[in-house]
Amino acid sequence: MSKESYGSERLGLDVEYASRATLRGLGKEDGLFAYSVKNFGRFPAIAQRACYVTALAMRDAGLDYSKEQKQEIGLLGMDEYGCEKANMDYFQDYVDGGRSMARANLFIYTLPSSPLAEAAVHFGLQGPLYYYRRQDSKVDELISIARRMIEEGQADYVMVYELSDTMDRCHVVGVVD
Amino acid sequence: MFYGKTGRWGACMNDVVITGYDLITPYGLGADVCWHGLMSGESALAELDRFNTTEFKSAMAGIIPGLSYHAGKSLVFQMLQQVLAGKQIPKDAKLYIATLNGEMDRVEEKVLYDRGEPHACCMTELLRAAQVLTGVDDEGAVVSSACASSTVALGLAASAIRAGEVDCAVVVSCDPVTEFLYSGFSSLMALDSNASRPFDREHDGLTIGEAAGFAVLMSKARAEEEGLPNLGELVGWGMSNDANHMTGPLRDGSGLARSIRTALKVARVDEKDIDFIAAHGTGTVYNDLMEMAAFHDVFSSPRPTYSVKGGIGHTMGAAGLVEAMLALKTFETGLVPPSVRMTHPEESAAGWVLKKPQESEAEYVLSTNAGFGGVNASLVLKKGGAR
Repeated sequence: MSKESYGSERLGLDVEYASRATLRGLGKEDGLFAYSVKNFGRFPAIAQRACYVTALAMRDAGLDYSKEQKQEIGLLGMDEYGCEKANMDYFQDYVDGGRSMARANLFIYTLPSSPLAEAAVHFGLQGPLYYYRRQDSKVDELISIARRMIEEGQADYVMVYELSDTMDRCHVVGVVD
Repeated sequence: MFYGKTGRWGACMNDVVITGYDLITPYGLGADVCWHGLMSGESALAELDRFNTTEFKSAMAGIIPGLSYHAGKSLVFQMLQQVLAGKQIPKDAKLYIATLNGEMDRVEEKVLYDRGEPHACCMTELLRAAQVLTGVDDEGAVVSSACASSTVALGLAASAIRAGEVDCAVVVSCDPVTEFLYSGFSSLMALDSNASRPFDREHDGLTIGEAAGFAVLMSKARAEEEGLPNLGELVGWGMSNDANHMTGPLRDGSGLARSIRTALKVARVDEKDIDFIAAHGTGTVYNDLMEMAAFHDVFSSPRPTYSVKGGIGHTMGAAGLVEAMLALKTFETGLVPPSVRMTHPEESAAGWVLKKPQESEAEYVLSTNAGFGGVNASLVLKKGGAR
């Protein structure tokens, strides 16, 4: 997903949208999700984007999903600044409220793994899930880790995420019999 | 991206040993200090005065004495500085930093006082600090998986060594008690109004604690070649996700049970081989019951089980490393520690969770953690050679 469009190389799908800031409803209109994402409107943008790229990548890889059947699929993700914006938003809101009552629905997104967790819940992905970031932020290392996880029997497939302000990517790592 | 089945895993199977570790916890500096604190049965949890708690459900926390707050270096930096001082860590070690969220007090300072550069409170600064304090060449990687962060990082490091990708790694873990964290858990109604009592029938929530620690992992071949001690072996690791809810675990414990079974499979041991369990044991009703459900599901009979969180609090992303390293003390001393502050076990924990230390000629331990986002992680450690 970029600022201008989202799509899938394998499916030849390339859809433009006006603004990435108004992603809400995109999946519904395009039938991107097999079923609606619970509380999607309350997600921060990065969690919404994580769900979109997951849907695109799973479709691209030919992986179906349903509410009834969870799958042994892991999620590894990286981005540039972790959950820095969510942290600032949460604590600023708490301070603005007089430092007496915090908002739980902001607090739960103050973990860098939270966007992936929302995707795991919706798509029923019950493999390992964690945020991993090196200074040089190369996706190759994450793909290598994903491969090792599959070889160890931790998951059947692993979704590897690169999330950034300009482009979001999700790679599906799996084994061919 | 799809790979063919190569059978690569198994081709290189280095044994992974722990050659060094240390901790700083609310009991003070040193793993031995923490161990003796737990064995005494006294809790290090106390009322905190770091920030105003009058609006919260609790005023209790596990605080490391002598740290300064909003006054220069971050809490994480101060903890790491103390625990890493004078330690010999191989320069070629691959560096992993396991944390919930890093230097959260810097986020507070930015919002409250507009202190700090843009992005100063993201993980980049923490990576730089950890590299300097450990003295390793590697720029490091942050691993964050909620309260299972350091369990996952230990598993990742061991996996890389076992596969022969590296032969030495250092896992550093750290998380502080901040107003940020405290207010958040208070908003979730997750705090015990007093100090937490994991697995007690009166358990009512968690108490936040702070800690930092490190563990040096190495291939057994290299450790033997360099004459380094084998303090224990990390033989199995398993990770899973509930895929159910952002903050609540699967009630039946099936998510955690899957991670335990994976760890046993990677370790190539049977559940009957596990001699004791270092549980996550947060003190929340949901966690404790979920965890006992998982143990009942996986194990054919009760094992001596404990949580350290009644002693030091829930140290968040640091918890897994703290607990795994303390488990090595059982191998060293032949004693399984008590679950501090647990007086009357809740029904499913009866016969499992220890009130008092218990002698054990243990060879294998299971260490478990779980966290927000439905994450679960389990480790199997084996007794090492002589110190």
